[in-house]
Amino acid sequence: MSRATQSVPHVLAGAVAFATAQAVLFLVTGDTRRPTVDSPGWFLNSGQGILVMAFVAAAVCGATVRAWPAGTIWKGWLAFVAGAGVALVTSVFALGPGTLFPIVIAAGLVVVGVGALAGAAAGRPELFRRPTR
Amino acid sequence: MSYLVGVRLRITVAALSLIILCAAGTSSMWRVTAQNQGVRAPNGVERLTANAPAPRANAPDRGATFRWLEERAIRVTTTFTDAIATTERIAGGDLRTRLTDAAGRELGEFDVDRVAVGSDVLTFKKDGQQVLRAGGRAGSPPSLDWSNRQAYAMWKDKADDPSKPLEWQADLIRARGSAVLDFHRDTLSMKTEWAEGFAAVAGRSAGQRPHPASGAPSHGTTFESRLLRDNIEVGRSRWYPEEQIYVWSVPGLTKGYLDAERMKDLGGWTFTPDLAWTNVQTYAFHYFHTLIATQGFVADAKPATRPWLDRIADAFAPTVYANEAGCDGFHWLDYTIFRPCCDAHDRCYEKYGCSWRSWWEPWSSWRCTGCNIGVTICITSLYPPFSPAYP
Repeated sequence: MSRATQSVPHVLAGAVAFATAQAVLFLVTGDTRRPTVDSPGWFLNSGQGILVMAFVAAAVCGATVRAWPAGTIWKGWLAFVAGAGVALVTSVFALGPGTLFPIVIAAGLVVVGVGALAGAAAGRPELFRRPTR
Repeated sequence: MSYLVGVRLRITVAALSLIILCAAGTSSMWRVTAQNQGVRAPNGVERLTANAPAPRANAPDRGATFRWLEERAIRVTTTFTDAIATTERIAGGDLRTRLTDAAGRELGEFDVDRVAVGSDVLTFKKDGQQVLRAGGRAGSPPSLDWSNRQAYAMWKDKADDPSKPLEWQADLIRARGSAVLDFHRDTLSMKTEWAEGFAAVAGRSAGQRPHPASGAPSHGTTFESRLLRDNIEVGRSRWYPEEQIYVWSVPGLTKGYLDAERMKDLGGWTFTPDLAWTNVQTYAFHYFHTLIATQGFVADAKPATRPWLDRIADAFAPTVYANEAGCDGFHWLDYTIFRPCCDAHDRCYEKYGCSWRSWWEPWSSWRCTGCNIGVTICITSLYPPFSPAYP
């Protein structure tokens, strides 16, 4: 398996995790209007949504780097965040970007990135241990 | 190899299960939208069927700021063509509505017992006799204006007739097969009262009037709201439904208008303005612009009840609640010290006619670019917007 294809599961996991979590958030808020980035279900519109997205990113990224080891957690983490980032940017423009959309995208990447990093670290703790002689 | 595949499969399934569980458990969703019809028991709480989804153009669609201001109101009096309904907020947040005719004779009483969020008990009495005791509709927090409309609808439908089954029709309990009520037509005026002597009085008129944009003679409807403080007018606003134009003036604080062109970048009117909205909006202009004038954006008031996870998240940022449309796409910041950055950015956009496209077309307007640079610096450094483009 080439280095590029090694990252495919992580990219896909990131995209699917973000899209699924966001779709569920829209559904659970019960808002019947067309979803936008100003809807209550958009993950950055509530502390609850932010925590849910970070937790989902942590859980899925941790499971992914454990199931498909990518050498270092950074490679797996970066691929996961890239996948989630693509889904995030696509969502923002599909839903209708607000007047602060670059800041929204940056903040969304921070939420996903921090969550995913925590999950990746939890999923591969041995990578943090000092090698024994 | 097959062992490894099995382990991966189990991990994947476990992770997906975890996602679904945590997402489902974080909100009080999975709300019941249809309830079962029961017999009208004297003390039991009925669950009425719903034959239509809750309407789009209702109060919850108007945002958290609207709801918060509406919840500050203590009394709303709605004058219909053939009755007067007055709802007061009483102890515990419950609502009590008294419906009378023009001479003051009681026609009915409607109570909303706010047992818990999303589980209200609604009681309608006529001639002192309980006619209905039913559960509220999930997802539709009752407002003072809604209570007036509901009491009026129950009276119009002769809900005391036990042969008429009741059901949810949009956001109101109605007798099955009853005629549609046109509240825009049947409502003559509405008075919304807040503490500290504030009251907004709105009325609808139709006929000859100047066109709101050109001033030329025209014909149409006008919703006008006058804001009074201790019976002295301090502001007013008008909504012109045919032209979709909203105009306001609060002397010394703010004046302006919104038309289709200005609303385009905000997504257009996402609800249908009515008398209740014009009253709350006029009060909002005075309330928030007074805060801005006296405190420089900031007020420490905010909605009292918020999801517990939001409250945990608030521990990381001081809570601040101010005005206007807030932080688009990032409304969690509406409750933080970053809110003034978004407010200033919104005003900057409004003043110079910017839109989201100005982010990637910086050459199109250097003033809009200044707005964007200012909000970026403000949010990343908490430094007040310093761009010369800022109003």
